[in-house]
Amino acid sequence: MKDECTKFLPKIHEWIEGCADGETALLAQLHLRSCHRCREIVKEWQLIAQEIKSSICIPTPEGFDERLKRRLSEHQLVSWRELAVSWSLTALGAVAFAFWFGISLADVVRSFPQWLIGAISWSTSPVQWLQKFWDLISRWA
Amino acid sequence: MDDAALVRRCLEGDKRAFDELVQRYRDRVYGMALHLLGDKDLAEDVAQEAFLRAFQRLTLFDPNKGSFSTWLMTLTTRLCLNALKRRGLEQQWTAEQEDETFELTELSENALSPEEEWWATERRMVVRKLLSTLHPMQRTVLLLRYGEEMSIQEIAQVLQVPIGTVKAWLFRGREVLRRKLKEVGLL
Repeated sequence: MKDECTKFLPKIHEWIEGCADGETALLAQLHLRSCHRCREIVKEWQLIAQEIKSSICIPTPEGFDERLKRRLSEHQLVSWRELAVSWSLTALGAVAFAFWFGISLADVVRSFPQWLIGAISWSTSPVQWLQKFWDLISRWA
Repeated sequence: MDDAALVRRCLEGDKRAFDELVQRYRDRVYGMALHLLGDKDLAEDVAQEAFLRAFQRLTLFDPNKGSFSTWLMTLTTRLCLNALKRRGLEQQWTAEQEDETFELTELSENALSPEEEWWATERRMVVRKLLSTLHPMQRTVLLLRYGEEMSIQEIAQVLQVPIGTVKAWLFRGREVLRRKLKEVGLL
C-alpha cells in the first residue's frame, strides 16, 4: 500500500461514516477517484458491514422464552412482596408513633376534619396551615 | 404494529405486547450478548437480564429520543460491558471455546438454494469467529455500527466515550477484520 493511501484511508473512513468535515470529504473523494486500490478497500469495507449485519442475529437457546417468563413472574412476585413489606412497615411505624405520643384512634377521627381544612387551605395560606398543624401537635404532645 | 405502540400497550398492562417485543428482539439481543461475551450461558443470562430491565424501566423509554431497538441494545451492550469488566476485559478465549461458541444452528434463508444457504452459514460462522478475536471495544463498536446501524454519536453515548475514540476503534476494528478476512480468503 502506498504511503499516500495510508494517509488517506482514515479520511475516507470518516467520509464514508458521514462524520468528515467539508475539506476532509473533498480530499477523500479526490483520492478515491484517482486510486483503484483504495476503491477496492472501500468495497471490502462495505462487504464487511454486510457480513456483520447478517451475523448479528443468533437463535436463542431452547427454552429461552419460558425461562424469561419465569424470571419476569418472579420479579413481579418480589415487587408485590416488597410493596406489602413497605406498607406493613409504614403501618407499624404509624402505630408506634401514635402509641408513643398517646394518640388514640378517636383523636385521629376527631381531628380529621381539621386536618382536611388545613390541607385545603395549604394552597391559599400555608402559614395559617402550619400554625394549625403546630397547634394540633402541641395539643397532643 | 410498531414498537412504540407495543410499548404503549405494555404500559397499559397488556402482557402479550411485551411477549411480542421479546419475540422481535430476542435473537438480536442474544446475538449481541454472545458476540460480546463469547459464553452461551452468560449470554443467555445477560439477554434475559436485558429484557427484565427493559420491562422494569419501560416507563423511562421515550420514543421521541430514539427507537425502542436502540434503547434495548443500549441496555444490552451496557450489561455486556459490565459483565466483561467483571470477568476481565482482556480475557482471551481459548481456541476450544471459540469452536464451541457458534454452532451451525442458523435461521434458514428461504430465498437461497441449499448450497447457497450452506455457504452463507459458513461465511457467517467465519465472520463471527474472526469478530471474536478482535479487541472487545473494537468488536462492540463494529457490532453497534453495522449490526445495529447506530450512528457514531449514538455509539459514543452508549459507551460513554468521546466520538473520536469511537471513530478510532471503528477504523482499527474494520481494518483488522478486513485483513483477517483476506487471510482466510473471504474477501
